[in-house]
Amino acid sequence: MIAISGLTKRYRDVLAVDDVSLEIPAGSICGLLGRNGAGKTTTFKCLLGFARADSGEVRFDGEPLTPQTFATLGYVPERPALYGWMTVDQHLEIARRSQPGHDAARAKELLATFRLDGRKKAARLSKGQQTALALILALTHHPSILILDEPASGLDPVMQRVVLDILIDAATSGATILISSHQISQIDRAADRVAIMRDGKIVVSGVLDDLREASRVVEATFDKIIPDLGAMEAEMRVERAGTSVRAHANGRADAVAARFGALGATGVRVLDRSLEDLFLDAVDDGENR
Amino acid sequence: MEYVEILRARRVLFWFGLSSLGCLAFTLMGIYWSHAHVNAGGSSFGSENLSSLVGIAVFGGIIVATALAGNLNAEHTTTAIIWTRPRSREAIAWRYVAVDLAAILAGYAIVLAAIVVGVIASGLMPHFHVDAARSLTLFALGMGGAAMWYGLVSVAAARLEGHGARVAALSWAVFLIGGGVIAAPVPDLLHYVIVALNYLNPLAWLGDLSSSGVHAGGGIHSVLHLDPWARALGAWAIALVAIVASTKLWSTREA
Repeated sequence: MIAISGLTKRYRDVLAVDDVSLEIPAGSICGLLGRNGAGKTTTFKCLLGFARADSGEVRFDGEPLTPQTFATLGYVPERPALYGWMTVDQHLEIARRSQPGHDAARAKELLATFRLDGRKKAARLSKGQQTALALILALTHHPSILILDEPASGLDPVMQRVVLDILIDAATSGATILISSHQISQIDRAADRVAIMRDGKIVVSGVLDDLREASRVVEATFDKIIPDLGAMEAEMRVERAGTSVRAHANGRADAVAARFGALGATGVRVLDRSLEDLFLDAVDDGENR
Repeated sequence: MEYVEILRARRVLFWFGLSSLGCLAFTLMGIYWSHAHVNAGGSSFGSENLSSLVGIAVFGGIIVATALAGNLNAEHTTTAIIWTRPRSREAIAWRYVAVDLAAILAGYAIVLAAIVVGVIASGLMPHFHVDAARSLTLFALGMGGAAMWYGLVSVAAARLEGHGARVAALSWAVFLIGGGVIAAPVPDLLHYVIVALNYLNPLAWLGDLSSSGVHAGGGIHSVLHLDPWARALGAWAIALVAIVASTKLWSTREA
């Protein structure tokens, strides 16, 4: 479990992370989304102790971060941190020597999965292969906590799917996973929770199904004119276009659909919203309208 | 994590050893092919103290020290690997230092071995006598100077991400010039400032380690008017303070 409370990090005049609180239970995959510069990577840096938070607290399985935390934590950075002059096998040797739980068989299996040649120098690997090596280094000690910053960056679609499957398997085995990605479809497929950051703050967070449910829209079409909607307009956001009305149902889609029916709507549809819609709504600062 | 530093040190020592071997081979070829062989039995070459070679070999240690001193600093691009191990950052840094000091010692030994082999091969060995006490003093002073050089470069580069190699290269110019200007005809006040600054110059602590720099009483010339053991202790003390400071600065920086 990862518990973040009131995390704040300021770089001179820039508030990079602003009072971030987030709880990710064991066995859960949480997707951290946000535009570039939203504060995702800084949040990761604060979580891992790479940057000192100005305030707030982070706990892993109830304990604060110590060097020993890394015996059960795997991290994949945004840009693969590898030694270009060292071979893939030498990188695995680092893991073998420094991680008590290193599983050589698992490392070999992952090398085969990602089709990496152990004798190849890291500098000679493609971007996707470097990402794959960074992933292997993060996974060979069977971590119970995984923090991944763009873990599928540069990978081809087949390997992206492999990575997501590995993460889903790890979560099924009880691992807690925090993953950031610009590829919303990946988060949509793998994550059961999501947190969306904007300007250093978390603006939306929760269980993905609940967020989807809460964001459903009811669209009603009337014959000639839209009748008086009564209290509905005060209760929720309502958009009118010609003889159609769209109501953001705030988790009460079925009840709202029934109310439209009672008002004489000729057609009523309940529209599911994608994670991408949720994301775009959450990060919309009005500049792109 | 010291595995990475072991690989780096191994690489440095391999090339350094190869270069030393090349220098030795060229020197020996020069002696034999030019027929300018040393007059082993002649009076032109008096009795030399072998410990002078122990002093001169320190430059092997210093070259290796400057090649390795920027390595902890170079880890700024691999923080995600090095700082995500179940060990404290201080422990990681000290393991790097231990590997580097061992490599400095090896660099020292390589040059000393090359010099001794050269002396034996050129037939000069009968003209050398061994002074164990002086050799020990020079060894302690030489390693202290090399460790001090390593420590000062490390501490100067600790927060200059990506500039470790530049700082190491620059250190040669700074220390050589710093030692050289001490004899320059400058006003007294400036002279005192230069002398004071030379307390942070490993070359000033080392002094003249060749046989010509040895006093009749066994002392070694230096701009710092201290006896060799005091200089050895001083150099080691500065090295220790600089290394502690560099590991502290490195392990408390933000990535």
